[in-house]
Amino acid sequence: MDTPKKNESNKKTTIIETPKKKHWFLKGCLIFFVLLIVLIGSAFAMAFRLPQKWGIVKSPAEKVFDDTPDRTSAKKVTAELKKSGMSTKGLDVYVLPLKDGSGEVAVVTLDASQGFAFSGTAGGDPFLGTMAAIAKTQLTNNATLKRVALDYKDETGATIFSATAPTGPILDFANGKISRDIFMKSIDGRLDIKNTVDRYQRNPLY
Amino acid sequence: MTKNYFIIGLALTGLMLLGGGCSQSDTSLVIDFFNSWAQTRGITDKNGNPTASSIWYVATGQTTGNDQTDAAIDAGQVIKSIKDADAKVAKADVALAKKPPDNVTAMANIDSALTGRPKDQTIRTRKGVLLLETGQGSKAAAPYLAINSAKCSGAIEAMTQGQVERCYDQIQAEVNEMASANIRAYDAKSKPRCAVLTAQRAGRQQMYYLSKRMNFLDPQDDPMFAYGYLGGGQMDCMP
Repeated sequence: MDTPKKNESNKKTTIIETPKKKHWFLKGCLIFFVLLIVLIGSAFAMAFRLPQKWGIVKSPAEKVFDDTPDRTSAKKVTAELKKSGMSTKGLDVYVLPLKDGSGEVAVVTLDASQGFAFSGTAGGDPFLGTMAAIAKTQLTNNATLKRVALDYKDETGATIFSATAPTGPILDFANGKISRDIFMKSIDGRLDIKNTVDRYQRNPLY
Repeated sequence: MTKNYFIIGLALTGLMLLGGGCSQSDTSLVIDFFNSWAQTRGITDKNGNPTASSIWYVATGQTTGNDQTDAAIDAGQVIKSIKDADAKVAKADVALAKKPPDNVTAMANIDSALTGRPKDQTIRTRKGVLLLETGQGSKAAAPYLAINSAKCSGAIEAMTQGQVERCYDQIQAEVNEMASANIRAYDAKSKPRCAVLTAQRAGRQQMYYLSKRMNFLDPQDDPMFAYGYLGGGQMDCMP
């Protein structure tokens, strides 16, 4: 008589435990799924720099640069580049002093939609040549120019590639003291993924 | 006749395509440069495929870990706001060049420029000067006429020679802007504004100390310069 009772109680135990396990399995799956979505969403937001675009996070530029750009120096540099034979159509120079007062950064926009085209003076490697031409202007006379940045916009005015390098390596490259490969290693940059994808969708040939 | 038109049309289409190709070639050149740079930096492999480290770099918001480098790469938004503000200031200049000057349009444009860049001292100086020119009083203008430049932050003694020179240039530009406002006031046969003179004097004092730091001044000439920079030419002014 005892044996069947034991079996019954065993059966009962089995019946009760099965839904609990399922319940926890489903909960675990849901948590994993939510975490995965959050992770992918965050990666997407970070890759497209959405927090900065939406103004949730202050961009590094707002934190580092002073509120007043040096317009006088920018005008002088543009005039100097023009005098050296470089076409300044679609080229805008901005000299941005650092908030800590230690120097400034020259940011140059090269806007193909405004008629910018790499000119002959830039030499065999137009992008690096343009960077070198800017670093060679009077901005470097007083050794407070920390770095040069180029921001290239395509014929629709969308930023494609931004790159920057410290003044020292740029001048070393311009004066033939370091090779192109070594100089390339001192450059930091960013390809605008969204704009580049849009561009390829518009015209896969370019 | 129809055939001729067809040939001309074809030639024009060809030229347009060629023209389009030329304007786009610079962008392809930049993308080629990016590919070459990305390979050198190990962002992509020899086949142009992204490496594991580059995927991490993109997923974490493409930061280099260096604030100054990130700021330089990320300056697009700041540049856009400067460009927009400068375009508005240029519109104000056009309005002021009219005879008689259109002060209302000029002020509206300067205010609009300041909305986007409220701490931009160059635009603030313009606003201060315009307030004085439109007779709105020194009290209203004074807050906009402070000399405040990152190039001049910190003690003069701690600055490098280059920093001192840049600071001097910046202050000189701001003092000149104020001086031109005062000259315009003279044209209107009125006394210079006290707020402008006070701000100018503060600027000249800084220029004097900077000159000393740069060893521009001959010790024998110092008293004369000190008079010119620090106290000379006290003028009668309007509040």
